[in-house]
Amino acid sequence: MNDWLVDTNVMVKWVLSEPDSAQALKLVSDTASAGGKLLVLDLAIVEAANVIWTRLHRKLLTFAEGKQALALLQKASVQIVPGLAALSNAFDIAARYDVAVYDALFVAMVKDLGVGGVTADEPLVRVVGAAYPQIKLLRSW
Amino acid sequence: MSSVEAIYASGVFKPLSEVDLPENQRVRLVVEPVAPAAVGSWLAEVAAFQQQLVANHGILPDSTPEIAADRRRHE
Repeated sequence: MNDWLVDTNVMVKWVLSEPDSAQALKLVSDTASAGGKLLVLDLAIVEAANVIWTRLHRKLLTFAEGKQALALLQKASVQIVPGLAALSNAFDIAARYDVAVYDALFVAMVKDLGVGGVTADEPLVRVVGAAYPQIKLLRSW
Repeated sequence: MSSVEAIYASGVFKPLSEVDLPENQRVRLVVEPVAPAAVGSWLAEVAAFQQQLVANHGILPDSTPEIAADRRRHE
């Protein structure tokens, strides 16, 4: 599998120094080396920006650092995919596995796009991993 | 005349930086595809930034549980 849909929690690790940031950046270099592409949901960019804001709000980052993190995120070589088309499928997944619609949208889009998925959310992988083995945990990258 | 980068998604152009225009101002767009930043140079830029963050603040808390909790915040 060459193309990967990336969850918000992985994107954040690209631009903030968090646990598993090294794996998140390895995903980028490995995918580029394999000639694949990275995809992100349009919603994920807003979620990631909000995480950067929370770090600013808690004074874990300066404003300049927050702006730089956001700018780097926006410069990432990713294809942005609109999530609305998969919303109905996502709702079904959310109901079936008792996961939030946001999580289910990531799962539904992995299936609809026929790509792999990468997330750092271990509970999500525990719940849907058997039915969606194409979703990998970042830690195992 | 000014230039701004934008992303086209779902039939809408979304500017990547602030645009100093009044609401509903009509503009003319000349569409020029922008190549994504080369992965290698982006990775180098990110690595340098992360080093700076670690030097200034150490490793930041893992945001993954917060994102998951935020997605379920109305439970």
